[in-house]
Amino acid sequence: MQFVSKRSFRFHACALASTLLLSTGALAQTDPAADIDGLIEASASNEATLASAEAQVNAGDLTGAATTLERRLIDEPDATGVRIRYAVLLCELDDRQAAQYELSKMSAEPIDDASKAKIQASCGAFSPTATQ
Amino acid sequence: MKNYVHRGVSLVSAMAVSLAVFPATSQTVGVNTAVRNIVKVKANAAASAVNARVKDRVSQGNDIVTAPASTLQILLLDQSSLTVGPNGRLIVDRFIYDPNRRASAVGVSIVKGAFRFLSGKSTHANPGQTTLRTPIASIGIRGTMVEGQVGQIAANVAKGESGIKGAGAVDPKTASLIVLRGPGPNAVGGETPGEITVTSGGKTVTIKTPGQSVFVPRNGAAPIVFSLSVLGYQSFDSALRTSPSSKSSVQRQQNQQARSNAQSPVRTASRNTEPTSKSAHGLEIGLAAAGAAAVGIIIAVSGKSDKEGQRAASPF
Repeated sequence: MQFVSKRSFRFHACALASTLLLSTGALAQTDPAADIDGLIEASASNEATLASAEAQVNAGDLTGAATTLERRLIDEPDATGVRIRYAVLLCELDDRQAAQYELSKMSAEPIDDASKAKIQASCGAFSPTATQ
Repeated sequence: MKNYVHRGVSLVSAMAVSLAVFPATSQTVGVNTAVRNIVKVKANAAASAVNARVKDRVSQGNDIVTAPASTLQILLLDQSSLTVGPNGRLIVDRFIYDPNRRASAVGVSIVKGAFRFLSGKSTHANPGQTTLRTPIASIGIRGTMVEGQVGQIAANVAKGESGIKGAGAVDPKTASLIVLRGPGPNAVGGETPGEITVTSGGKTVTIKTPGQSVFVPRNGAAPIVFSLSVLGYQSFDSALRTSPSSKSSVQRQQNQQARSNAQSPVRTASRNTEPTSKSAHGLEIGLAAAGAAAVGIIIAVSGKSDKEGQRAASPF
């Protein structure tokens, strides 16, 4: 019984190895679950969450940014900066009822002038008043 | 025999390529991205439930149950997000995703509890393939932010909604309440305004305005369209979102006051009052007319503390 020649075997072994290597590379680039792992890791802190959400907004993915901010607020309800950005984003998505609720939750929190300006810019309906 | 060997090697190569495109996680439909307190997952009917953890893969057919004061956020592979609030249960029936065509088909059954769904951007170019099902209604989604409640929570909210006319008998196990949240017509960044269709009792209604809602009281009943009140919105907020700890105690008091107002004859007038509350940071939080749904007093209640949630009984 003739078996496959050494040369032929080497050829096919190399082909198989190349295929496996290529497919592993392709997997690394296209695995959507791995991409989601990356999004989770990119929102491990308040600062990272804001940066990640901003990148999504800049890429035109406003609902994705909202999801990122919501994720952080589930883990860290006291993340004021994240909640402000979330409220602003809700205004940008024209969900003003939800935005108003988020802002009302922060009535006891200090909000700096820059954040107030962002709220004003996106949620124009929320007008400033004289303080206290 | 040589040909057999050749064919064998070729077959293995082909399988390797297949594994790259449809990896061993081919049944994976999403990933747990946030878990608050106790969430249990059963892989199938025979399996025992295990605690859900962040980064766990979600597979087709998973039966997911949340305990009191618990929340789960899942990102599906197309990056649509699904959040389920306390005392909820859902099953992912169907998920097909083609990243190359940027198209997906999603089917999720919400058995009970509150949920929030945000379509992934990648699906916006090919909308119309996402269907959420409650026990008595089917919700078609097009590039949308949508929230819903199923079961007792929906029945309770419906009792307080004066806009729901002619509901008749309400089944507290299957009653379904769905609200379109956006994006609204004034959304920036080229976001397509959201739209949902709700089908029940052989009738379909289409909702395009954020805040517009649909109630289905029982199996076989036609959908009832109405505008969600502030108290109705509050119920979604407390089920699906968090509040800062500084706000929680105040909000609970406001909530109690609102509930007693809701039971008084002046409730309707109170709910329709446009809100204006001065905050410590000097913003007068009120709603302008532009695109806003009717909103009343501002109330929000956070979920119970983590400690309370950890004491909650196992949902399975």
